Amino acid sequence: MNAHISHATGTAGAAEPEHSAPEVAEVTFSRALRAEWLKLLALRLNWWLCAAAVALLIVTLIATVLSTRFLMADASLTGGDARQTGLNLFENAFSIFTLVTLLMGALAAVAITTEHTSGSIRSSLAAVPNRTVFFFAKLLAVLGFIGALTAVLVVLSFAVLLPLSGFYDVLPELLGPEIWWLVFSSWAVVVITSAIGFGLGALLRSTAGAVVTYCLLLFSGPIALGLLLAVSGGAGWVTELMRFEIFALQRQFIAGTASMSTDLPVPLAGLLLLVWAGAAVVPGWLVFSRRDA
Amino acid sequence: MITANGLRKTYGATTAVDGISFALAPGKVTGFLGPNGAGKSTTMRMAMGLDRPTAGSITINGKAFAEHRAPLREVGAVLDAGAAHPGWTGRQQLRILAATHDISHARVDEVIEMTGLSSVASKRIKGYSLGMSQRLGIAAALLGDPGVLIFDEPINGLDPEGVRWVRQLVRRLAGQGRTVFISSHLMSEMAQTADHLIVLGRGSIIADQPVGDFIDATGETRVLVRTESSQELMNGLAGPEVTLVCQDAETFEVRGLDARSIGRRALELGLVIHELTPLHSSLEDSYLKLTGDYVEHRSGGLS
Repeated sequence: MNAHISHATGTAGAAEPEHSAPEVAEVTFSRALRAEWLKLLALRLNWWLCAAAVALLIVTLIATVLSTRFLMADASLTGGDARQTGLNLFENAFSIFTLVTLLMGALAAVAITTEHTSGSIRSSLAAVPNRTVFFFAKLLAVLGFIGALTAVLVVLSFAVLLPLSGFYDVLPELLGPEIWWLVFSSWAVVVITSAIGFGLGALLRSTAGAVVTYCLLLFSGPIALGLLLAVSGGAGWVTELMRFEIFALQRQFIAGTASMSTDLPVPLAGLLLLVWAGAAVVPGWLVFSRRDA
Repeated sequence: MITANGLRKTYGATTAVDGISFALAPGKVTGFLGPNGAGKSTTMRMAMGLDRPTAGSITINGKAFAEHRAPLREVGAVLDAGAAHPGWTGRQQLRILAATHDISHARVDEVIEMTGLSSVASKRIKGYSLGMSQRLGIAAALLGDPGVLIFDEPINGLDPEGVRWVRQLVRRLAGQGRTVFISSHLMSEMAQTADHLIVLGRGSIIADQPVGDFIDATGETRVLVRTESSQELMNGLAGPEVTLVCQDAETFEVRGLDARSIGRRALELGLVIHELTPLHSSLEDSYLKLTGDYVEHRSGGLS
């Protein structure tokens, strides 16, 4: 009804200022998205996770700088060309994005599970009762946040690697397709894989449960399939399964070209990563929109 | 206006709310009473779209809550003092909610001022007392200036000043024509705050009437009599339906007769009466009498 409210005050009996009814607009997806973005910025834990990701990258870059001398010596022994050596330098440094994926997946899971564990889901749904709008606004905000942070990490990597590769005279062609694909695919892998963490968070509601399941999916999948391969005596169907495991798909997608005969074409590897993300997000959305909050 | 129609909620074999129907009118404070586990919070959660009814419906201003385009303008609710992330500040929590409806920061500051949170609005919620959290919940509920307010135990954790503030606020909101639906276990507060009562027992409505009617219907009227001739008057009042309880040499209580009949009888006997006071049952007395059979978790006796 939007009736005029004359205010009670914090102190009983104090004077009550007159006011007009506030402007209240309808809820839209963009407004829900903005609110979710504010939530991410307001939460200190997210900034700690960002700091952890940056620290991880800095440690890796230091290690890369220190080990470059040996990479150069190895290249001179094997007679590799400078351009390929430079590309290897970038690939080594960008391999850290696999671990960044882990941190960002945890961040995505926490973004949804914390709504349930803190009870803030009640006030969130009081403001945005359409659960589909709420869910996808949160997903988009989380992936946007992760995408922005990963982009910062990429820029930071470039800032260190470019002078380094220039110093050793192995500067790859800056605008060469291999480098740009490495940059884009590393960024995309982090964002797409993080969506799996978000979906698991929506499904399980528990931070510990979602993060552990996410880690198991990423790390235990290859180990379990490796063991299965050994036990089955190298069965073909296990080898086939290994091609569709998340880590393998990430590697195949980032490699840019099929580096092994068993590798899938790059677009298919990317598509299958999206299918993995969808396999977590869609059930998460269905459960979230139907279950009591 | 809040309307429930055949509202039912089950959790496995347990029935939390058993096909209740009611309609809450604007301009009134409707108290929602019942023992623990009676289904009050579940009903309120269904009104806010947090829980889905197993059957039936509950609407606010004619629509299910999720169908409202600007829900904060329609309904404000305090269902739980802990409905905010402890890592945010109070102001951040309100600004996040405000962003969903494009509500100005000035309005956020206004409700912070209104609820007396100005001094702690920039502190993280994890450092809030229960009373501060309740005030923050009320601030969030008032943010969109809604016509319907749902408060589940809003005075839990508040100090006496806070309790009085909530009472005055709730009365004022109803006075402005809003629909106010409030649950509480504090009967003395409910007696001062509510106009109408809905009492639940094991998921069913066992009373739905104005507070005065509720007390009259379930309570027992007594009359306190003070006279120098108490023994003579007690003898004169004695009867099969009358109970007389002596308090001291000059004072006794009468049950089964009203003050007018006692006064008339005293006149007939030529006795002087110094006091003749009808004693009404309290809301608590009436509530406990009505819900006695519906209490699931009964306290043990005091040793």
